[in-house]
Amino acid sequence: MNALDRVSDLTAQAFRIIETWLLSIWDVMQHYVMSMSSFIPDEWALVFAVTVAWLILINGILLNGTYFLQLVLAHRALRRRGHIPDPLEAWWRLHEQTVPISLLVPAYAEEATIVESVRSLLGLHYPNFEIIVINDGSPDGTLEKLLSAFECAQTSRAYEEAVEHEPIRGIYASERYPRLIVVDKENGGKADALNAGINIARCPLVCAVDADSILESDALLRAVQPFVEDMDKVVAVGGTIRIANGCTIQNGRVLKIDLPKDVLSTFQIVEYLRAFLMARLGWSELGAMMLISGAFGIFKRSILLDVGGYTRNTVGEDMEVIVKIHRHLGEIDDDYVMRFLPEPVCWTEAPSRLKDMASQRKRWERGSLETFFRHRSMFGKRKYGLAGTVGYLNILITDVIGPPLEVLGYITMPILYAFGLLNLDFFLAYLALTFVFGVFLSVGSLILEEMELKRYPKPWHLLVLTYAAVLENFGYRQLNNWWRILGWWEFMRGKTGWGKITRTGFK
Amino acid sequence: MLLASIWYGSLSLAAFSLLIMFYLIVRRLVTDFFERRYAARRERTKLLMFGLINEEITPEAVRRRLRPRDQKFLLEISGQLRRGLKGEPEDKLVSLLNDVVDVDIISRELRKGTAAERAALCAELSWSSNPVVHQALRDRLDDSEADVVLAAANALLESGAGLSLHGFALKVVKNKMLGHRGVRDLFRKLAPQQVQELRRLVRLNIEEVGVLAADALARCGDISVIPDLNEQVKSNPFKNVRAECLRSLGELRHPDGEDAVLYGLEDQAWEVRTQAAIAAGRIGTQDLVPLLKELLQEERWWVQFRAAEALSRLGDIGRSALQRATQDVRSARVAELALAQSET
Repeated sequence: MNALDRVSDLTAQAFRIIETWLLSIWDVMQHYVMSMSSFIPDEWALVFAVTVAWLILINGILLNGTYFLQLVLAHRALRRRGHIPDPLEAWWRLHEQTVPISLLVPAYAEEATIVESVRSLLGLHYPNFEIIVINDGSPDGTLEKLLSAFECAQTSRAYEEAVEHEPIRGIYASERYPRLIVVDKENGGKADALNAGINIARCPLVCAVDADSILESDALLRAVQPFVEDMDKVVAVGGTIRIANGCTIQNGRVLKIDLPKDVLSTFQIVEYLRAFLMARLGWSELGAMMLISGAFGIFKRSILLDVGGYTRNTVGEDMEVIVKIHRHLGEIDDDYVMRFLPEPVCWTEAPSRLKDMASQRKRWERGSLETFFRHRSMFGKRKYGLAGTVGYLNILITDVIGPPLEVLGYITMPILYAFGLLNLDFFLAYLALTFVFGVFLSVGSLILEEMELKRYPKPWHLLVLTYAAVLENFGYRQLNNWWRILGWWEFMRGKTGWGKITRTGFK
Repeated sequence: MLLASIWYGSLSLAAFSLLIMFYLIVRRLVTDFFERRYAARRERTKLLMFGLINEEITPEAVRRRLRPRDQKFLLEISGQLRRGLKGEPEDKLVSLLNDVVDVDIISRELRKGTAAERAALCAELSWSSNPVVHQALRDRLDDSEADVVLAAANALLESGAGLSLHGFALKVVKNKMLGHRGVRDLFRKLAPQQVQELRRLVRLNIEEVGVLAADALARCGDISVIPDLNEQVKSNPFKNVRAECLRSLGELRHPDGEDAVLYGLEDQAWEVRTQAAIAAGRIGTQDLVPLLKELLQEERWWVQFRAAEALSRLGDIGRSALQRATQDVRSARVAELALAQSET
């Protein structure tokens, strides 16, 4: 399939999504207008219209202003970074100065992929690391597969019960693979499994890795550099997550980078560029990073012990632990640094079905809301520094009030304009903030990618991604906001648990 | 006005970003072409280098055929080659490099480019005995980027140009690089030649420098430093320096360190007691068994565990003390774990 075919295919798929979305909005609008217009007096309608319109517009200005700031900061960070492009050269230059790392790999019902994942991790280019796979009471044959594939036998390992978790049933080690430890424990969820791993770990740094993700062979070597530069101040480092759909993967390694064939995964590539290259890097530069992805983050073990490990029974344990660290270090008035690096890359499989993606996005929204409300007392307090002010404000406008106001805007602004309650300038400003500015931000992230990282090898990859960066603002982003509203709803109803996502697996 | 500016501003930014992106796509098409030419030039430089090594071409001919911008390729390729060479072949390569590398161009290059490029170039110059190169590397010790400073310091050290530990320590303090692991490694490399300076630095009133010096003293290959370490365990005001001195005593494994270990086992800071327990196990003196047994009652788990581990290494006396500790509620778990771990 050539580039033009790919572009026309993407267009057709995108239009189908937009069409579905517009039809459903139209249904809601019709119902809304019919029910309201009969009994609201004109002057009330005007006050309502002006209030809602300004609320939505101010939210849009704040949101887009924040994104613009992130883009500028991210650009500055990328320009200043010291990068060694060649992996072999990176090894020669960096391998002598490393800090031992315990990789924590929580595994639940990963029977199909766990052996391949662990083999891939064992092949990482890093001089001193151990892999602790924590079988979180999987109902399938995850443990048996691990034990037989790596010839593990039961062993004893001294550890302190420093953070809470469900009981450990056994610890296994392999003579053939001395770096590998397998922990079998009662089921308690991802956070609980990570806590068990933190207790078992013996290295000063721990790295949480998802069992279904792929770390690039030099990812640890690059990610550990902030710790090498200042072990006293740096408490956590996050790496970039990229979408592996469409890439050629063999033996747990990404051999060839390519684009996926479906439009949903292509949009997610652009979305991840915005989330990581723009948002995380921007906030990291400012010192207000509030999230390190659960798929790949390195922490100083001592700081995790100080905050009592991951909070159990939460779906957003990755965000929660970062906010908890900010809170703890703010309370003891410690000088610390959290960094995000664009270079160490972890590849992950993005959901390619709408149903799976909806489940994932609702869970992410619930996770953000849980964290926001759990630590709301941090908001605006000077002792928490930029995390308590800028960082928390960012969560408020992007995750808490942002989605409801955006969706409210999709419904009310066209109606208000149609009824003559808004003038054209106002309506155009709204459209600019909702759709047009998004194009600038998405393409801006892609510009950063191409100027500084150049991960996509072919010029036609860039063409397709530019196209996707424009299109995703007309339908895809709105659909995301709708799922986030559903996440809000689930949060208010007290829903817990992760939900099931079907993955096709790396091919 | 505000509303109109939002609309037109957004439209302009979106259009501008799209224009830039299309420019970048076109640029990519062009650079892909130049990348191939760049690779070809690099390949040509590599062939010249091999020709030089195999004595098929003279250094003068190579100098004539190399363009100024090829000098960096030359260093890059020679750097890769030198990693695989030792002894006579390496000496030969170095002598050839001395003949063909233009030190003036390289010295100028060291002041240009990004921090990563400057650091890479410094690292590739560790073979040079040329005073001009040495001076250019010394100038880089004042660079604002830690990686460049460390690469220059390492290159100076490896080239035999000499590096004053005192001067380097001052630069490190000034540039706030004390937490960098590369600084620790450099202190360790300098340790065998600059023992006296390390003795002075460990007494300095800067905690981080004291820690670095105490760590490096264990690598100087000279047991005459043990009294200095002993003294610091007893008198240094910083707990991290005391702990580091004990770690070094543990690494040296010399019985003369026993006195300080004894002192450290009763230190107020738990970090120091932990290191003292580890050192006790490494030195292996059974006189310390009673004190280690007391540490099994500690509140801090790591102190307990390291004491138990040390006992498991102290022969039959230590192991029987551990066996008895398994009967005590407070120490039973760590004692059992240490015994089990010593058996696997």
